[in-house]
Amino acid sequence: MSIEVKDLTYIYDEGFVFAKKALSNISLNILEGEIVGIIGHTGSGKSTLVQHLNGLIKPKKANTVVIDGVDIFDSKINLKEIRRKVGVVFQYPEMQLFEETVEKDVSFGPRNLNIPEEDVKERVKNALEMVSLDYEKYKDRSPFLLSGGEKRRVAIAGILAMNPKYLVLDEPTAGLDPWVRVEILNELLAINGKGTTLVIVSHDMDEISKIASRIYVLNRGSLALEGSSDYVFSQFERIKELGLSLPQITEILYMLNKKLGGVDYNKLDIDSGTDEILSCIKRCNKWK
Amino acid sequence: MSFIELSNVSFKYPGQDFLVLSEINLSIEKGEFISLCGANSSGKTTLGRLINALLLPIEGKVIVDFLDAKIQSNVIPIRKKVGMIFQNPDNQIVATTVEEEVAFGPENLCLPSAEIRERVERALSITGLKDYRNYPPHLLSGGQKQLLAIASVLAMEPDCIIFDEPTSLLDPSNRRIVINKIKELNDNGMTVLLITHRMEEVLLSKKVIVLKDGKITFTGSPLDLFSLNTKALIELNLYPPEIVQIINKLREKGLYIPKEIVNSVDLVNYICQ
Amino acid sequence: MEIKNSLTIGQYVPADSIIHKLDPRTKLISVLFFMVIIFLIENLIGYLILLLLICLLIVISRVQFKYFIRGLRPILILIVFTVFLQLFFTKGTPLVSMLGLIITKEGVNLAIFIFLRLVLLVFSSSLLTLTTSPMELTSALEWTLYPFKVFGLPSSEISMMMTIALRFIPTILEETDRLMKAQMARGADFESGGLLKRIQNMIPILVPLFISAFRRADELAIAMEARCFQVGVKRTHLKELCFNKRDYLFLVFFISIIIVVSFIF
Repeated sequence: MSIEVKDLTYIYDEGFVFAKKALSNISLNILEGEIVGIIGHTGSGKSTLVQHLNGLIKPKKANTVVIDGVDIFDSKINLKEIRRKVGVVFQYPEMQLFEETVEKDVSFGPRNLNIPEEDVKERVKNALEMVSLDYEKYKDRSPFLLSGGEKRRVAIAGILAMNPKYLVLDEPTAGLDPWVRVEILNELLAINGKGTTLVIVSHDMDEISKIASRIYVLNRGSLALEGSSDYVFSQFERIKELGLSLPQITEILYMLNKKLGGVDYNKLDIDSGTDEILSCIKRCNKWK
Repeated sequence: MSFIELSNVSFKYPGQDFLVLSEINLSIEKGEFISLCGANSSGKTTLGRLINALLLPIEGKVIVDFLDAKIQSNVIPIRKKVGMIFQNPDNQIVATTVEEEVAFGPENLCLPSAEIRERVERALSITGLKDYRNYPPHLLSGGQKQLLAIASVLAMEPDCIIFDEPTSLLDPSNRRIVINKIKELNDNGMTVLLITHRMEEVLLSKKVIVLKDGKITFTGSPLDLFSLNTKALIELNLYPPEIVQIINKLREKGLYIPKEIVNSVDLVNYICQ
Repeated sequence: MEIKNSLTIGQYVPADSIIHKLDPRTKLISVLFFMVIIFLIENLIGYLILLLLICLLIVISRVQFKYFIRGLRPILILIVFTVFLQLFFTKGTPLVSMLGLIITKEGVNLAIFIFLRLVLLVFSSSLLTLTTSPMELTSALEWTLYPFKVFGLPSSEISMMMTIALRFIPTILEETDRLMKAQMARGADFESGGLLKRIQNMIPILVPLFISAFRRADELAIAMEARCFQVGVKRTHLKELCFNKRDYLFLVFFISIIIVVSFIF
């Protein structure tokens, strides 16, 4: 089962003087179990795309957004069911916290889905655990008195408690401390390990390279680049053209290769990357 | 005496029983570009607010251009000399158009209309916002809003500007716009105190001060800071940026890399020699 | 909610006209005067002359007529209702019978009067709001409240509050939009249900908005203080309101026409 987007086009204020084409013929596929990264600047259309994935924006044509075989263009579909299946965490999700206690806030989602009360508590517990928050310690605390990182986690837990099959996150680490960023990325990896498909929208190449197996690059509403993360990060010229940056280690290896040749620049992590640099140096010293 | 001098400054918020800052000694000369970093609760924002008299120390002295911040009548003159840009671009803009916003500061100083107009024009031109003068703030991007905040502070003709994490809520392209403007301002003589947790920004400054739990734990050049090994940086509650981790990893594996190398281009050039 | 696309807040439509260039206080005073006169005139021809006057001013203002017609929309029901009432329920000399009710001559007269009065009210106030920016309006209002400072009314603070409120309306609308989307993603439903249920459903929107508003106010106050703002202390303005020849001429002209008309009719 998958999320299929086929030839999706979306124009804001169609017919008016200031109509804006946010998406042009976007096609992408998100397969169950994988982690897909969507990279794009502000204005690339990524938030419009995200809102299509759970029916917040309805496509204008049939067969453009199909989730697990269900075309969301169909007027008869149950939107709540779609939103249960595809959980969306927007940017700065801590804005949506509103309840008196963490437990009540995280319960909001499941309760809206009419989950029986006995099961809600279990879901809240599990969801908090998935974001490394101890249930007993946090359940009665006010969400407004938590730290930035804690608030972010509670907000994410609020969506996790709905047991989504697909989890879409728009800039999940934006505005956070570098330490917390790493922690949240690890938590997301663990969540994917348990079976949830992840779609992460970001403009941080370093982060995406560490977590996504396939990447789509959006530029001004169209797909500029797509493929496995190895492939996408090897397209240096194109990435530079698009005004994006590369993971540091890959960039260094690429530049080295340009100058010295014989360098395998398809490394995305520091350890193997530095090994490659050292072996390159050894090689060059042999020639001297 | 330096332009800004903090001697033995300590601070705690009313109602809390722990010191947010203790025994801070700090001097800032005119024209310097200093960055201030530390973990979230290290006291960096508090320190910034002590310098422009938004907060008063419970111990020690804060002297700005020979004016003691504790004296009530000095507060306004100090705030004229030391401007501040805040983290959230939206929550520092009060007016309905760009022009009116830049005029806000001079209006508070009760300056005559003609002079306000002059200052507004100058500030708009320095920040490149002349074409946007009639725009309402909600139509500006995050970076443009921060430029607007900068213009509004420039209209007060300060000697020093404190930037409190000005780019943390912005995306990469907007960040670049703001940081470039900050560098430009300093190149033209403005004293800059940049509070940040982004290491790329620290590299633009000439001196970096690291705060940990309310105390200064490091003062030196950015190069000195980044040549510390990863463990030492973590001790300071700083998260080493990717490039520093790479360089330190190479050093760990036996390669000598001089401390002047702090970016990827320099590293590659060095390796190729 | 694609409201963010409009450059204007509320009704202001920028254009290059004499009316736009008038001091907002001139316009405010004129409109108030006009409204008083509307209720003093009891003569059809008088109303028609006033209508002619307003239409002339509308043409001079270079703001398209459609904006003024749009201004009638909110009170369309009121207009229809009152006209209906007057037409069918006024006692007097019967003219014709329709729908089982009697229309009288007096009824027709009153209906036309009421109609013209409402239209004149809407057109004149629209003329004010369509040609004057929100900033100018608050300045004008500040000036009119100034005399009350003697009684302790903080007129410039009230004006500052109005400006800030206007400034944040689009921002808060955007925030509301984002919040609604975020809560809908959690299964919230803002469409169905009876009145009570709907109000309850708004809690996940209202609470965060309020919290955010308080935080905003806090941060804004600090930012304002950092730029030397002090409550109660005199401030100057970038654009000082200044009456000039044009304003005096207009006022004299306008008011005299009105007085003449009201005396004749």
